[in-house]
Amino acid sequence: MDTKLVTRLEKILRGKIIRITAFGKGEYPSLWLEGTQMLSVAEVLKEDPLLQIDRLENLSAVEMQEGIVLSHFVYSSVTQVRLVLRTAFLPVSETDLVQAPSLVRVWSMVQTFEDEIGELFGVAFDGQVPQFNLLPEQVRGLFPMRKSFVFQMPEAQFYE
Amino acid sequence: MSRKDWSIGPLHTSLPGPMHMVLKLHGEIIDACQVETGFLHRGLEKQCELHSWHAALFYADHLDPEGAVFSELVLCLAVEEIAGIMVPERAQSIRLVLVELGRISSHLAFMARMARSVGSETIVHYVLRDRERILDLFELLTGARVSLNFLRYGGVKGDVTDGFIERVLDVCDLIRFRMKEYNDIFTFNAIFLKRTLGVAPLSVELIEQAGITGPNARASGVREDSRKGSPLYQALEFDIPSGKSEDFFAQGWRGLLARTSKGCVGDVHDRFLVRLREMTQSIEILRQLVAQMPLGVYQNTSIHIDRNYPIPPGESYQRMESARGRLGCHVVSDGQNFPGRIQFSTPTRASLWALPQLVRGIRIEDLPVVLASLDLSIAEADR
Repeated sequence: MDTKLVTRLEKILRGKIIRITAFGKGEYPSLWLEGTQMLSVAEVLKEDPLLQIDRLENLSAVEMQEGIVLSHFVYSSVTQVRLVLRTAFLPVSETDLVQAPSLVRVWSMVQTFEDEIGELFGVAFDGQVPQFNLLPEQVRGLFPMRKSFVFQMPEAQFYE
Repeated sequence: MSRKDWSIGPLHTSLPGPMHMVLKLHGEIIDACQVETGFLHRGLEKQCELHSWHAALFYADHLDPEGAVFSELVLCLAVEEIAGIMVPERAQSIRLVLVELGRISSHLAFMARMARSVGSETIVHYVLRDRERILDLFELLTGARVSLNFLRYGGVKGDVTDGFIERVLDVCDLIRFRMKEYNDIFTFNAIFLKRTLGVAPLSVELIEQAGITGPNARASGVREDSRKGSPLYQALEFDIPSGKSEDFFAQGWRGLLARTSKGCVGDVHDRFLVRLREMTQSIEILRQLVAQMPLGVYQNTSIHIDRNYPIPPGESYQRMESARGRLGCHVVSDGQNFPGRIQFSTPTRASLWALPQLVRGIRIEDLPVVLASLDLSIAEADR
């Protein structure tokens, strides 16, 4: 990891991040945050003149031991700095929605990712109940991308 | 002027795939547009989690039927980084040959769709005739024409077959030769210019808002290409074409050269032209790859990944430049013999997001042309 970048991040985000770790094999920093700090951290990263994180490349959700982990892969088209913002949300039950803040106000391109994750993982971004565009009626609200979802093959139908 | 709503889809010949559009029309002008997708959702990422690492590669193959090799490669790169699998140089070259052939094939299919959208059926056959030559090359090397299923973690499934290299060079020469023909029937064709110049320009602001990448962004002057700076393309020389909005002189009906109206940067014509120029660059890359093809093995022989092979715990995010833009892949392994999570970030998603703003104010007859010019793949957007 770039030590100058880590120092800068620690300086401008003091008290707002839980820890900074290397993402994957250590290419760029991964910032672990509390859900309540996501929006303010995103705003600081976008406004900081030395970082100028203006683009979101990807938003990925994965269920790990910590809960449902949202990973925002962001970068700057000016400074070429790349970061991963990570937040874990623990679902109360298998069918309950997880509440998370939306970052649409900071990076508008995150909208389609949030819509998809809302539907497949059961995450309500800014309290919005997910719209169902992808799933068939019989599995709506069961959040098939969670590990608790048991996949069953539909019964084969035979036609005479 | 009458106002009315017009619903198109989910299945319609002018649409790039199953999607639903509701247009608010003011006469023949589109006032507003709503886009609904999801009709082609196949649960591809969930399927990857339910099967072995080995099988995930076959599912990735189906992310975008027109560019199967891109999703195969990006998944391989991510898994290889997690597991620390080395890829022999020869295998890397074979992969890139397939990737660049895939890019030309995808751009030729794009040209065929553009031709159809402007009502030029003859040109469709000219373009598809040449695309067949690329599909023949795929078949010669991999045994398949569309879903290649040829890449493996640590290399590729087989070595190049006899005569493959020579045929790649033949096809490069052929496509290079055909560029003049494509320019005559497309780029400088008066009717094509009338239908495309100045139509639906994609502004840099909209590109930034939506996160559009690839040829659509480059046509508007945003010269970002994941290949530049990628270690895979480090030894290769190539340019990144971008839209410039040149003056075009078209042959008039009396055989006179007449200056057509000038377009604007990022319009439909620029999106077409950038892809045409990218094909030229891909040909140059292919020639370099073939000339420098290293000797050696095509697969890392120290590993054999079968259905029970576990990938060590870890995660990786890899990106590459597919024919439609930047394709990302986030892979998480929890140490088992099946993936913890495989997620694809596809370029079509951003173009679809920008579509309502892009088509606002255009004429209804231009809608198929604009849709074709964005080169949307509903398969990869819905997954």
